[in-house]
Amino acid sequence: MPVSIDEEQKNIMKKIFVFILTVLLLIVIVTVFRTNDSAEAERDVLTIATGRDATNITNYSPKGMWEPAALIYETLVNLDAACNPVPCLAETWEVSDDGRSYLFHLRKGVVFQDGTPFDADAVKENVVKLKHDNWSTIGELLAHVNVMGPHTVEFVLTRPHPTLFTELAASTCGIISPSVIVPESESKKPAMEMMKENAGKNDGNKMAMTETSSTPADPGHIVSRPVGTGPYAWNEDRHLRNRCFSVIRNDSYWQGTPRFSRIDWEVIPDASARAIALESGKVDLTGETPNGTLNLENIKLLKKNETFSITTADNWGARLVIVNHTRPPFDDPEVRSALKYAIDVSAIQKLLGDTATICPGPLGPTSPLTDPSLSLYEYDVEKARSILDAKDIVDTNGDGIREYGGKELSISIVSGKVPTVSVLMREFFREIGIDLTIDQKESGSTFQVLAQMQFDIAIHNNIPSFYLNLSQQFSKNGGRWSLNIDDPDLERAIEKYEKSTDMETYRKYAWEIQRRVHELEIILFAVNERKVAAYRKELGNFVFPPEEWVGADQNLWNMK
Amino acid sequence: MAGFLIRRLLNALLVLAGVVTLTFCLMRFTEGDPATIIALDKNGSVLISGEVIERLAEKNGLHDPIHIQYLNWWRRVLHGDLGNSLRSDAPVWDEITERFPYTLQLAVLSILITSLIAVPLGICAAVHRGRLVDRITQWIASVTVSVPDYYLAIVLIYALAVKWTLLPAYGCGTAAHFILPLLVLVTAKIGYTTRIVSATTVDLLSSQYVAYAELRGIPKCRIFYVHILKNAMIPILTHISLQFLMALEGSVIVESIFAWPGIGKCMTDSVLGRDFTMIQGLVLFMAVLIVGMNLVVDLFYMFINQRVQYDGGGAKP
Repeated sequence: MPVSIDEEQKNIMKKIFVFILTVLLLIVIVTVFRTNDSAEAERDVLTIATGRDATNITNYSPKGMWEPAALIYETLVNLDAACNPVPCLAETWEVSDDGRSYLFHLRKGVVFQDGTPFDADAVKENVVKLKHDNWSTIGELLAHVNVMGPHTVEFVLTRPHPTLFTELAASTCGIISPSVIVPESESKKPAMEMMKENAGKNDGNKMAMTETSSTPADPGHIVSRPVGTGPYAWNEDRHLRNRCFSVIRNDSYWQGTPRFSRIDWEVIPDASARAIALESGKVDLTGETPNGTLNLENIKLLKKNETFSITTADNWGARLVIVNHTRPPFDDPEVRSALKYAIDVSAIQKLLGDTATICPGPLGPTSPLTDPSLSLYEYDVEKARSILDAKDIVDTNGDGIREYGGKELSISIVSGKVPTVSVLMREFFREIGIDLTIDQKESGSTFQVLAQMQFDIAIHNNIPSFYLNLSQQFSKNGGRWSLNIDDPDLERAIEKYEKSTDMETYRKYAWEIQRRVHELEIILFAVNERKVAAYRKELGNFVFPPEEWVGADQNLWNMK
Repeated sequence: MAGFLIRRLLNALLVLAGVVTLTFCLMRFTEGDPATIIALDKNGSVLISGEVIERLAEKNGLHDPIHIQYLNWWRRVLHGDLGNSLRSDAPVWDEITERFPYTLQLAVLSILITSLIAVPLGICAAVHRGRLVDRITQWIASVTVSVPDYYLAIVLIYALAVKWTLLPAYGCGTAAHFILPLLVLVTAKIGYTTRIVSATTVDLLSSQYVAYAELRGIPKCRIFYVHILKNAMIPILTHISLQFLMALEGSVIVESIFAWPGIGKCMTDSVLGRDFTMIQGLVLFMAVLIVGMNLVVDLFYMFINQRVQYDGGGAKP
């Protein structure tokens, strides 16, 4: 049946109308979505991308709080750029000649964010009740905590510990309001209820002198709510588990008014997605903590973008590339030195770019204990070959691989998730006739392999306590992380190091330990993974504290 | 029917016990000291001593013999307690109930959209076999199967969130947040589903009973809807239900890149972090869900095809 012109026109009009309606609908949808997003753009608020939720909902101890702990809690002392202690909650201090007594004169007029006054009793309650939690590393050193006055507290140690100040500056030793330190059994109660119950329990500044031993440390205490003296207070309203968390400005902060009214963290598990979030303008800063690190490719791209600034800093610790000195032929230091000559560290440095610094010893360049006299070996393949030849480790069948003990010298390297360095080392070792296979393991398995010395070469995980406690790793009595080095000279140096009463002597023996380990040729090289923060240029200048355990976000409150 | 249900429930209990026992054993025999891994994960880059590790192991019973740990876990589960996560200390059940709705939303929507696109597309390709529609469909299927999720996600974020700022790059909460994760998930599934639908329909189109129905003069429309589509639905439904079950386990890639707080990332992190209680809780939860879903799918078969009977060991067409 023929269709009339009117009907045809009607059909066309109908189609056009449907088309326009669809387009309009799409525009409306897109506009609504865009409006929702732009509403979030508050410039007084700093937004940071991190990789994981910073909190542990049953215990708000600074030990498990990661990023916000550095802004909520404050420590007795801070560290300056040269790692010297500077006042924070303690204004001045005196150290006894035997290095066992530390008398702290606390800052007056400071209050916790819940109104509880900060005083000597508060410090003592922290140390005694949380001795097995965030104070565990110092707790075992403390013989007594004596309240000498309302604002004077004395720490008496069982033995001298020259790095006490550095450890006191760690964000884990942040001072918590005593009103929120509660027995674990009460932790099921709502936080506000507990706060009411505990309010007033710590009133009054009474002179007391009590030993920690006379008040048995209760391992069952937890922190029910994050309350410190810091520039920002925990913002419970904006905490969505595994999605975001936030802190708000503490208007009564004793050092002045913090710059941002609020700091939000968005949880973005993927590194590339964090970089893209920064590029899209949804976040202002990322990469500054170990939870939110960026990868090399992201950093390269962000560096090219003029909108962003990149700040980098060295760490104190380093990942050690070690050779198992208990397995032949590497039980001979000369054979181990051949491996060191075969490695072109400049090529490894080029591969890792700005994300790492290659070091000769166990400590990074900025650590207060690093021995500056250590140096990396020159790349010299001929020398490496001649050492192996002299030791009669030669290629007898002409297949390019040397033989040792009647078998081809084929060894393996235990490597982490991304074996880029290992791939390069395989090429270096092939040059000197050693076959290297890569044994890729996830970090959980690596710990066991390392602890049981079940490897030929391994990239040793970076355990931060080694930064200042070299005996754990290098003494044969060092415990689970010991490299089982049986060397009397090294043990003697470690003994003197542990008995040092002042920092100078401590540093002197730390250097001696590093030199001896260097002579033993056990560390092929070390990878000091650098901290890299990427942020919007107009934010100002992000400054890393001297070490990450101090709390990377500590300086955000007055970012210039 | 009642006998079938009782048999299936007993089977389900056996499957659940088997799955949980196997997971328990596999995790305990994996390399690595769980107390060390968990202590490092909890405390991060702060000073950590051997004492901290020992206390953590003692507190969580990690030094107990394996059979004691196993029995303790079952005792707790039978009292309705899945325990607390070793890493976050949060109750496992709370963590699951907090995360699962996010995974479920994505799973339901992605399967729904995939089915709405892939089923008609696959049928259309089968009906017009060898023609342009079929070739285009096959090409789309090949491309979507070949594009890696991770790459597609990054490209989509870069284009739609960074360059044109049309959509949010990450997170959840509004309808707009669903678009990019769904685009990635649907793209990943659409190719396989289209091919399954197309192949199934082609098989049925060339079957003898369809030829016989045509000879009998039954209208093509009736042959298609009554004979072909109804029979095609069983393999298609099986495929879609499997895809749905896989989607319920969460996508690590999508959840990591789009910061979607679902269950997939939680599972991976728990395995890498040796969070035994969390892994066992998640596995038990997923096993209950999958066994339950399988039962529902079996009942669906019966509903859509009356010839499916349940006798003895299971479904018989």
